Amino acid sequence: MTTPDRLEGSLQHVGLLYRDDDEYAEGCGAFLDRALAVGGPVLVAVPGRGGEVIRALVGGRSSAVTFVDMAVAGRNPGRIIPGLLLPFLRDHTGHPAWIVAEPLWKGRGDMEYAACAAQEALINVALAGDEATVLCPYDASRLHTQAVVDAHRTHPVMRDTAGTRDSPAYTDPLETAAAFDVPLPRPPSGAATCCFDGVRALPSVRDFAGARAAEAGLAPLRVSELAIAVNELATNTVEHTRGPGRLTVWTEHDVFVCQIDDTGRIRDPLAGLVPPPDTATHGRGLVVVHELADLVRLHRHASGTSVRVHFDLPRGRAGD
Amino acid sequence: MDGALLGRLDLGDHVCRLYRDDEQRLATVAGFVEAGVGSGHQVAYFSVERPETVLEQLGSRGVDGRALIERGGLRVTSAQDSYLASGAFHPEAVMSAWRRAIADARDCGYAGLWAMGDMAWAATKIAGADRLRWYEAEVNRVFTGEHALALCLYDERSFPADELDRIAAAHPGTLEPGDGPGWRPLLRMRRTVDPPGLKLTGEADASNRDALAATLDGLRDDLPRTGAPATLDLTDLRFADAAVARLLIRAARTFPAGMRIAGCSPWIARLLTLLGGDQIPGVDAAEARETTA
Repeated sequence: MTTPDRLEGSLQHVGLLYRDDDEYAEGCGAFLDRALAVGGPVLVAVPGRGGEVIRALVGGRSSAVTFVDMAVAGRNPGRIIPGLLLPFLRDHTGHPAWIVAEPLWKGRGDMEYAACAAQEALINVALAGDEATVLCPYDASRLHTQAVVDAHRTHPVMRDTAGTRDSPAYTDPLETAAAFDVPLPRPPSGAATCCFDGVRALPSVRDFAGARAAEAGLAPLRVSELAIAVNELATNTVEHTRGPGRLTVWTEHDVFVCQIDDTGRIRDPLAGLVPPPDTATHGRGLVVVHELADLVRLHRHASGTSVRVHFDLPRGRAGD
Repeated sequence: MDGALLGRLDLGDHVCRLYRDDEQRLATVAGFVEAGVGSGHQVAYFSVERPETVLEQLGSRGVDGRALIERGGLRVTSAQDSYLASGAFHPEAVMSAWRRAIADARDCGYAGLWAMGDMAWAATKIAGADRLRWYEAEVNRVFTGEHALALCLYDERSFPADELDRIAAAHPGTLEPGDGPGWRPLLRMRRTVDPPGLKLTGEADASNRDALAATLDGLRDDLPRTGAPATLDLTDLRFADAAVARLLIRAARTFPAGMRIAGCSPWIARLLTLLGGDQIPGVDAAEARETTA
């Protein structure tokens, strides 16, 4: 059975399983041939070497394609939707878009995996009203098997060398995304903490996080950006919850980690993934956090919300 | 402690002083009078008590208020006899009165006016008290000039915590009971003449954002109409959150002759660029990207 690449006025979100460079080239090549034949706007966001393979495929037609290194633009999986896909669609409003987006590669850590999988599920919701075809290549020979299983849960349509078919494992994407909201590992017992309550505690929260990040070796500009990110999370706590919040910071594996725990509930599953209208002053805090951090993990649990953000340290400078 | 700390106030400041007992309030009142008069400014205190009571209290702290009044350096007026005399709070009338008082102090040869108000009445049911937060935000436009500063006294026992947070957020800086001798206002806002604009020093976040919002909104009326773009000087701005950055972007977009940013450091360029402000003159988006790559 074959499924058309696009239906009028709706999102097509297709998972592509490949096992080697040839299958990668074949799957992506067929997709791009069709995209370039109809002249739609084309975005290729894949990590590292995949970009070279696709550039070679596209050849002289590459001026019609926007290339982005997913390892940089999607370093934090949480900015794939708000920082990459939605801006591309807004820039080409009225023209059906063709996008190759490869969010996962061997070397992505376990902490990143759940965020990647949740993004894949939420693409179905955030882009539901967009005229776009999104092809997500998955390296079936090198990724762990669960990643391939999950790709079937997050993509309504799957493709491999045998053909294209609907995915029976694909169900309500919001429920699927919620299933990836797994508990975070405990912070190390020696981690430094700072409790805060009320808006006037914000400067001390920033100072606490900034001073420890600088000690851990984060570069000055990144320290400023970390202060912005932590402040946005703490601002959400003091403005939208009734109780106090707790900031915990530590260093692990060349990463400076900050976690904010509070008693609040973030009800919108797309919070931080879809920017509010241009006229709104508020509502951009989480979007900014996603842009600045190297990873954002948000965990909703019975007694509140935990948000963990990672800032990569320059290699060899970590304190642990 | 209050004397040295209050001596660090500067023309243009508008500070919310939260106190938790009368001892603290009296120390602030006496310290403010001493620091203001001592630096060549006229001090105007709008009290809740009768002026005679205020003078006694100053006397108990070693400040000869009567002599200061005779020499003209101090004016003590009870709120009930002045701006609340009608039985209601009229913010516009109070702001006009501040402008006149500032002009009077200048006419009398003082370097400027140090204004202090005991806001204890605001916790009562007086008509117009519901406009207090609007007033406190709007009055920043009076004090961000170069000839006056203001300190507002709030009894933290008289207001619910969230109400106090919102009142404090209408002030660029808040002095709390537990603050140490190193305290200074979190944010300082100064209207500038050459070039016409606004200079921000310090940090802007949810704790003082309303003060900044009202000041930015008022700029189109408060700056001379030169037809030139206004200059937002961020050289000494050490922190801004996303909502503040959006306020700056909105101001730049809506100011009649446009706005340019001076002293845009890489972190604020990055924040403004992320939030749609990359078109504002002075925001170097390329640099913002490069420095974080």
